[in-house]
Amino acid sequence: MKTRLFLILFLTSYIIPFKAQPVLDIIKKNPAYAACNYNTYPDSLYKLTPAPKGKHPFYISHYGRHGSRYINNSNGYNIPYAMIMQAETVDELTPVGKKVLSEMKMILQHSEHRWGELAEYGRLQHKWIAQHMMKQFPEVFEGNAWVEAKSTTVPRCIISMGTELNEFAQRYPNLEISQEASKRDMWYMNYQDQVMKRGKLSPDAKKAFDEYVSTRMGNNRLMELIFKNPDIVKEMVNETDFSYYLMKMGLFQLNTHLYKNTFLIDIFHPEELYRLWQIDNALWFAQYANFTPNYGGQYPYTQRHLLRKIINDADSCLHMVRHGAQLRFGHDTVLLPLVCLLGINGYDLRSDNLDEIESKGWWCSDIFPMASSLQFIFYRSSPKDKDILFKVLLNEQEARLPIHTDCAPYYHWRDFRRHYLKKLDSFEKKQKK
Amino acid sequence: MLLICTQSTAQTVTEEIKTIPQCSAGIIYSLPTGKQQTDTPAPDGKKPFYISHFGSTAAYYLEKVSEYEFPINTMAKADSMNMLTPLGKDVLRRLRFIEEDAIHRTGELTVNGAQQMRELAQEMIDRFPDIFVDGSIIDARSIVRNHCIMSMQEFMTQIARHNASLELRLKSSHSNDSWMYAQDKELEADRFNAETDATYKAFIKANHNFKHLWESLFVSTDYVKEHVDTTQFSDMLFTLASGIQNTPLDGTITLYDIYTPEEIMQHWRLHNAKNYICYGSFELNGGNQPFAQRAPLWNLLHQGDSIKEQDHPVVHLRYSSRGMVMELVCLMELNDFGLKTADLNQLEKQGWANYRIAPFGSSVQVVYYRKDKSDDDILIKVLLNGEEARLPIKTDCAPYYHCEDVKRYYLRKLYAHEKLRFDQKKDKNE
Repeated sequence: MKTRLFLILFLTSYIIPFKAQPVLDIIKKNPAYAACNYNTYPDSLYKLTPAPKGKHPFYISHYGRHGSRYINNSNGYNIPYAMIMQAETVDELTPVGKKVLSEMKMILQHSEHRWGELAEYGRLQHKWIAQHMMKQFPEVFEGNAWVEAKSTTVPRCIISMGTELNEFAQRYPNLEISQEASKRDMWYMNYQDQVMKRGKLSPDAKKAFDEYVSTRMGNNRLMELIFKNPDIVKEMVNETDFSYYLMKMGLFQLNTHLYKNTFLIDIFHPEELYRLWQIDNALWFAQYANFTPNYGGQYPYTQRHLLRKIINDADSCLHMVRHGAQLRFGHDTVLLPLVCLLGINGYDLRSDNLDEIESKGWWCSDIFPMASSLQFIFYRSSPKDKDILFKVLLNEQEARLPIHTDCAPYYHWRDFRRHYLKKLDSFEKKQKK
Repeated sequence: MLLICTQSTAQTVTEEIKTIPQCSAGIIYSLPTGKQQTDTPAPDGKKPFYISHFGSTAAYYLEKVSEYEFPINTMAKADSMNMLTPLGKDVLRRLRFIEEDAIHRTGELTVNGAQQMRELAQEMIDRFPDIFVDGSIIDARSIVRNHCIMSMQEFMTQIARHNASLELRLKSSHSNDSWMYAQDKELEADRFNAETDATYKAFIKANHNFKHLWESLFVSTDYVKEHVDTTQFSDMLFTLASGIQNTPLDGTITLYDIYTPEEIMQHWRLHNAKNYICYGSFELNGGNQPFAQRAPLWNLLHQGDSIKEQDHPVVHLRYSSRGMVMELVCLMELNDFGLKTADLNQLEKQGWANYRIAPFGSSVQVVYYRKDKSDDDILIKVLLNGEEARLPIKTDCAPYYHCEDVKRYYLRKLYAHEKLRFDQKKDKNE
């Protein structure tokens, strides 16, 4: 699995115009990719561009998602489970159907009392990330450096934070470390726009999404595989929902210690997983990115507080003599819109057409797998350096910003500030009007 | 400020609280750090190889906003009617500082609590250097409460600094609730049976004379009678007074100046008696409340067995609530805290004091000793809040006990309780 993931990640690590292979091919090699935000995170140390001449890394600003976790509640699992149980009571399961049922029972049993919790695999991912960070940028942690870590108040995020901090503390015992998970920071660590969140999709966006989905849902083949008489079973089983949630159930397991058991994934064809990915990719785009029929495609601006905080925090750290890092641990629903707001790797794509997002490279599985992160790595020659450079890593790989630079993948911090503060000011001015 | 309330000083509870009023906070008191602990040398050159730690969270802000708001609103209302004395006005001002410090932090670990955990971790490392060596496994688990998780992490980050070759594990899962957050609904239902309720109410009546307090805060006792829920207000005000020691306001603000020593003692008595009724072996509610923690005790005994074959030292760190720690201490009868009585007045006389048992940062640590892997005579000693504790078991090498004797004693105790439950259920069904 690890080798496979590495290969996939290598192949998909390019920025949007250069995506090397179609999504279907990726899914054939790595089914987890179809899980979008449940995509698993690999242990890969990427080759990075050397530091700009005469400068060295001295500060990291980070927002990361918790590692692999169990699904938040049993709702999604209960849907296919209730349906297949009904079919079982009337003796309508094929031998494969019976095996599917027994797998589902095992998954449900294993997930009980663990809903939403960080899985062991998630803890491991954060160990890797911390180790990579120290290996790639040792200067940031050496000497009398500091690390300030903040987490949302959600336990899986807190443990993700603690796991990384322990790695740092073991390697650098003198590091000054602070950690906090407070409601005081939720205004920027986990800000969710209540209007857009409550409404989910605007009526126009919902119409467009339903149209997109209509040709991709359902799975006759699966019905025939699992049920003796699909026509009879259709009376009690909703084919669309059954197929959708069963696929998810299989894919989610890749994040838990049942990851070696791929029976539920193996009963699906890659094309079916691919269609699932298309549906979810479109949904994430419609809800959290710049899908113009959905409230004008403004959702990424929900992360304006976080972006301002990242800028302000950096401003206050750039001329400190001491080196250090600010680490923030949160959620996919924050990281995704933040990436879109920043326009990293072209993810600020604005569109009113869900059919074109895939061909234009808007693939959410690359953005926010479990343990995904955005890291700003800052470089200077000395604390007095007035031309501070930085680069952005999306999931530890160098990323592209939609601003001019003469030293890519590095950018001048002053250009970044000017561009994004103007962007935020302009949005907030419009809002006031 | 080093505030140490311990039994080993042989002070009476009254003397101790008089010297250090913070002890009156009971389970809101923070276990002090920095005390030089003395360890009796282990017999026959035996060395520690396993620590099983069952501890509580470090200090956190009160859980509910209303716990801050109620006393403030009560006083603000009186103030708006010019019913506060100058001292009352000043107390209201102090309460607002306290509330401001806690805004958007309710239920969260305080910086003092975080510091306490780091210091307690360092003390454990310094005290047991043989345990924290290359390859040792440090497995930490917390109940799913944020202040507990943060307590665990502060402790672990300090340990992480000590050695890059320790294997560290962190976990917080509801799947461990059955033995880390054990609750027994049947026992809880018995806590305040009619007899207990009547006894506790009488105890409250005997310890609720706060006339001086009302006169010093309010200009009119008639107003107090008419407008103030004195039972709730006095309780919540004292809780705020108790909690200051756990926040950055410690040393800047106090509320102890508004109380007479006797008022402080009365508040402590009420909380202490309630803790005893809920978690101790109070005879009037059956004396079995501590058995709610039979699962952690089982776990503790069985884990000890499974560690024997490990090649590297192991530390199990468990972070739960203070109530759980208190019940476990009473169940294990450490330092005679298994006291059985029907008379709440006996608690103070016999030294059953909540702040000695389960303050913030409290722990039961069972430390296992042996010569080497072939040594069958494993000894243990138990530390209660860092100090060598007395067990209700015969030994020829106190404070060390033969592991087999300890296991036998507690297993018999647990089995006897199981039989009692079995018999009770049988009687009910018949």
